[in-house]
Amino acid sequence: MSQLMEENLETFKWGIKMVTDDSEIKSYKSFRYQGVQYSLHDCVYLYREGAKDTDIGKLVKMWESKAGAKRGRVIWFFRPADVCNFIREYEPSWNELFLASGEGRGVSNIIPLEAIVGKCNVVCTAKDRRNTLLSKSDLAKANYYVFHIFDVGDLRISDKFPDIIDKIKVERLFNWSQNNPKGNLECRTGLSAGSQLKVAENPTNTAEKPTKIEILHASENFEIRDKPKANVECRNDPSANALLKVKEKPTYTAEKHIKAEVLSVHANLEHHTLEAPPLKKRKILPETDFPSPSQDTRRWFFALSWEDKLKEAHEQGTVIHLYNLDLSHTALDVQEMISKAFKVKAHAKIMPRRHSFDIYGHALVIFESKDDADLIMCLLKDRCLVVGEGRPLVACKATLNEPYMTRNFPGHLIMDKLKHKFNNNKRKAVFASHCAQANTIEHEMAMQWRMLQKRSDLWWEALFKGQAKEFSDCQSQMMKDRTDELNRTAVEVTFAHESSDAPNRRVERPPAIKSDEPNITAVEVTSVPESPVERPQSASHPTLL
Amino acid sequence: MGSEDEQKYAAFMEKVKRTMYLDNISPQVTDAVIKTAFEQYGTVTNIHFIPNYIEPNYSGKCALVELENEKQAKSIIEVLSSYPFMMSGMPRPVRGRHAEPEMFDDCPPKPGRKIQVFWVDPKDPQFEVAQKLKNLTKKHVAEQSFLQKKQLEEEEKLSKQQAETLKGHYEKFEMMDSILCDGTSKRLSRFYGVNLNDD
Repeated sequence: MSQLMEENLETFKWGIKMVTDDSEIKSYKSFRYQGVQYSLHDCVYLYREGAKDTDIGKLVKMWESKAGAKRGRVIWFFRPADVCNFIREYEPSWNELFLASGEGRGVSNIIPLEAIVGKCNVVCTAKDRRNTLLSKSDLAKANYYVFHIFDVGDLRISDKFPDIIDKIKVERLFNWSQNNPKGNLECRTGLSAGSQLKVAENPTNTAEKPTKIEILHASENFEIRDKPKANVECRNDPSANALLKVKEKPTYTAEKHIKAEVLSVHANLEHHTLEAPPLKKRKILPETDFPSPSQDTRRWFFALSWEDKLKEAHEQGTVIHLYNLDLSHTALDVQEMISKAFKVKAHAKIMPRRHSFDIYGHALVIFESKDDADLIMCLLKDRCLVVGEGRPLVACKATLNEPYMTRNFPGHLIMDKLKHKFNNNKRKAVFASHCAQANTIEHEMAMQWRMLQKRSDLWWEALFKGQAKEFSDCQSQMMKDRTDELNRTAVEVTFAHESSDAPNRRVERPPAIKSDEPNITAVEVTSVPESPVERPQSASHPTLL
Repeated sequence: MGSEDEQKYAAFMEKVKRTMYLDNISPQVTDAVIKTAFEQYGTVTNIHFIPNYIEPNYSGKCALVELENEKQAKSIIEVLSSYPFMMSGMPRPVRGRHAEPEMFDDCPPKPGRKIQVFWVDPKDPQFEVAQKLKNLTKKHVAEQSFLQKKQLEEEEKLSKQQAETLKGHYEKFEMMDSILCDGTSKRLSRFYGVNLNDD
């Protein structure tokens, strides 16, 4: 029993020998070490002294040197952490690796075979015609997957695999039959032993592969990687009602693509609104012949700049701070809203958003007189002015600070004594903006600030996400109530001459008016053209787009 | 009117892509400083410091810096995120990221939009919910200002700690400097039999 264990720990046994010209170096196709069978083109974990994590490489050659040393050549896979500095835009998955390629150091190395600590299951999910895609279960069993190469010369990732990596044909590096080592050996010449395997080396075989699986894999792969990217782009453009649309069609595109979608969706919605009959029994104020605010304000406030206006207005008490605006509203929108709702003139300016996830838009509005301002404050408090998709405006008297003053900016340390000394002895050192170098004291401190900045980002994000959720829950509740009410009134209008069986009627109408799909009703009935789905609301809304 | 709006909007979005948003900027930084700081990476076409009226601002100035093209903006942002960049003050590094359309206060309206407003009176059934929303908003704003205060406390703590460390370093170096200058080191080396020169 103990003998077996000993054997397991220290045994190295060569397997099948390869026929080569070199008589001194004996190359092999496989070997057995510590009880595990390794073959050519297997992926292995390698132990490097001092490294925190094992390296992963693909064995491309194994041999025994004249002196009897057992050597192997591996082509490396990079972990995301190794290359994160060079791939800013791409967010790799936790189990993704990058195959090294190109000319230069770092592509492959000769290693002693005793450094191998285990076998690793790495699959290649690249959509290369030379690569065979594996089944779902194979993918699930894999430890890691490879989709990109990392070129050590260009220091970039790419999903185009070159023909040769380190003098090895790239076909050999693609998916091999991980579960049939024997088949592995014969595969090299293009035969695939083991008929249940879908793997083949010969490019012509891949053409016969069922394309369905390829597409399935492709879409799965895209989903795995694209989700974070799609979300980021959507967050930046909250009024892009293509939020849900983009999720269904993830692509690596730039903003332009999403913009094009947004514009086209807007065009669709415009069309919708033209068809919807205007509802009479609603509390929406009809479009007045009021002179458009933009023209007016130009005449009105021509002379003063915004800052002066604001100062003056603050003294007089005519400034109101509105919040809970939708982030896509502009100053002109706000002015229009005010004129529609209150029939007064105002001059508004939007406060730009300071944090990425904040859902509240702020604006400062200057009214002509204090009475106007006071009246509007009262009105907004007693009743609710709801804008667009359910944002009741909240107002408060603005308390303004000096715009550019920043008090006690923590983090700037000045050494007076130091300055003195240098001024005496040397010429005045001019302070230039620079990047802190790694071996200085300031670098260490800068890193501490960096960490604090990152932490603060995280806690702001957490807060805003929580707030956004609370808000959207409440908002959807409100809109649901509202559309229920509108249903009732709409039914009354259209079926006025019939019996007053309003609730029943509602049920009989086309499915669009079920109470759990309020938004469709919203489009037809309320003719709301602007971004109907800004917030990540519940799943009952997708059909709107 | 439609296409003109769209054009304006498209031009605006293009500008957004070329612009970066910097914060944690020291109060002493001026336009000129920013320009010279980034001239090795690209040309700065426009700088706009964002005035902050609403809340007391402790985390430095914020600015929208517009560059010649998107590539320059991207490369600067990369540099800012990989290395700590100091501008007119140390050691708090300047932070930068891509600008978003909502950060501009002169954002043109999205073409094809219309504003809908409606009143909800106390007798309407949704009034309660609307009131709830209003209160929720107020609560959220209070939460945000509280977090801002807490953040400032953390920043001040770090700053104090670093000041202490720096003072310690400075005193250490001063001491070393002084003994080298006034001959104490020579005496000590003779006393301990240590060779001061590097041979």
